[in-house]
Amino acid sequence: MSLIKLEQVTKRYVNGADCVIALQEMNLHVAEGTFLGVMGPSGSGKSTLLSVLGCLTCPSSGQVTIDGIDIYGLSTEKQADFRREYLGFIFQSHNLIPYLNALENVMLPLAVSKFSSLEKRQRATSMLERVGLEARLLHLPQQLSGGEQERVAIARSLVNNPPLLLADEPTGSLDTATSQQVMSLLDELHREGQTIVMVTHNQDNMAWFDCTVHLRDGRIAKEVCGSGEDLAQAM
Amino acid sequence: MRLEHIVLHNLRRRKGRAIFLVVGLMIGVATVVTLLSLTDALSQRAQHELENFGANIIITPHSDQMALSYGGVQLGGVNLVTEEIRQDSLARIDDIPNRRNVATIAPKVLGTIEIEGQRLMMMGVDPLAEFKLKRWWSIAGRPVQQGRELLVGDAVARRLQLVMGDTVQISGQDFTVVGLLAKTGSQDDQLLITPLLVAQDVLSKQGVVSMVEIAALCHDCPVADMVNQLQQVLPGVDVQAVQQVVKTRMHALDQFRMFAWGVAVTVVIIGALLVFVTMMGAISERTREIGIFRAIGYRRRHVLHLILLEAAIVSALAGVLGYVAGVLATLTALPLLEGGGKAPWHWNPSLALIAIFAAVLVGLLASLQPALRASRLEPSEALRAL
Repeated sequence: MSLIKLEQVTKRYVNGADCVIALQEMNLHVAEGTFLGVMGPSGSGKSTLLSVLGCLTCPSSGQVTIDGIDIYGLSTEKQADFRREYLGFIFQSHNLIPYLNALENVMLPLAVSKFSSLEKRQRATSMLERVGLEARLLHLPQQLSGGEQERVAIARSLVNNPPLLLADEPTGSLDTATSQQVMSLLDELHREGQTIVMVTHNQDNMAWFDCTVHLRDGRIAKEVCGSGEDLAQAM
Repeated sequence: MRLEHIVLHNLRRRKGRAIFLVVGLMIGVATVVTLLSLTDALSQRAQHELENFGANIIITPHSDQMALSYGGVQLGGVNLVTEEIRQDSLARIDDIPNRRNVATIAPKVLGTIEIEGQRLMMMGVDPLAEFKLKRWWSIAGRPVQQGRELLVGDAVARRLQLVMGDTVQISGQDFTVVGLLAKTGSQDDQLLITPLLVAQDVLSKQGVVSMVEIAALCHDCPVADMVNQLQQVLPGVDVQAVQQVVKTRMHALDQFRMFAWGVAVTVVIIGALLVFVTMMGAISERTREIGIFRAIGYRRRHVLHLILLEAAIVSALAGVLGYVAGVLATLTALPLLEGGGKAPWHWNPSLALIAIFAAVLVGLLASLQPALRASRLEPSEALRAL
């Protein structure tokens, strides 16, 4: 069953007389539990695709359905609710709030939920334990390493148990060893059934994906599914 | 973890901006509180003086002749009273529209008597009204109450060598001295004061009075209007307003009050602009955060809540500190303005509440536009600004 459906999605950025087409009549179906890699050169539309999937950028045309919901048919406030309940974001630069400690950063999406204070704390603590940061709960982001910050960001993206995890270059600013740790963590989540869409430049990450789509000029140039080796050969 | 925690953490982290905002608003609130407290205290002082000064309206029999005296110095001309005031006509004072402003009506009858071959002036008074009006009188013994009792002015007591308990014969009747009036430096020193009915009887002026003093005990009541109203109900008399000194002072205070309000409004506008500019800067600085909040599912109203709550906390703090600073400034300035006199400052809970409420209101109104702007930020645009 497809968790994500993109039907003829086009996104144009118009700036005066200039018009840049970031996505062109894109069709994409992603089944539940898939770990999808999105690759392509700069300007190919990877980030726009993630932004459209993340209910952050309304496409110029076409339809985006996630879990059967036409997300751009929702009101602005309902879209916010959708993001909170259905999506987890992992940003390239972690995007942690600098004046909140690790635990508070993870609790951030829960601040506007109806959970009790105790439940929020338990959920966030458990998520940080899950990513191996049980000893760093009260540390501020600047007191954490890049890898630790990335893991806090992952914990934050998962604390609401979202059906879909969207990751934008999560290993982009990490060294090789830390990148491997982060990818292992994502793989572990994937094996537990988490659907993940991850944008990356790094060819080495392909081995972790179930499927990879290669974008060029806003179109899917290639879509390959299979084991890591199959993907590497196909690309 | 709630939105309030995020706001408090943010304020703690950005202490510099929060302190700047608090100090800026605090100065504004303190200025307004100081100005309003000063005008209030000075007005109360003036009102107190007005009340203690006694009458502010005098009714005398009508006379076509100009008085040729000044400060007790007679220059030859003597007023020839054509007709005295009928006592029963005073009931018409109750008919004037500003009757509620009339606090005391003190009728008196004046006339000359002879004691031991010396001509002296007797004044018959309504004891309750008169002694309420002349609060500055210092009496050894007690005021007259009823019957043939005398309160003797200082000059008369010296001349006749009267002491408490003495009996004086006037027009064949015995009067007892029940009180001695301490020296006032005015014509009161030359009076023999007795109850009105007794004086009317002695002076053969039954049913008439020589003059009436009226106290309108309010600092801003329309004395000029009241004079006109009294003149209308008492057509055959002269009605005059007195206490020009106090009135002049009240006028000056009114002007000071207007100036204070002008400054207060200016300060409030400057304070609002300060909050507005600071909050706009804060929103630009926090675009990244707002983008994150929106991306992880915060509604627009959640962002609005964050910004306005921050403004409310800072403004309330500024309101409290500003009020305290304003009170301290008032207590420091009042003795200087009163020439070293006693500062009549009283804690006004309403002003405290209004100061804090106004500070929060100004803070919220000035933050509303920046907050709306923040809440309308598209998450994709905010994140692109990273």
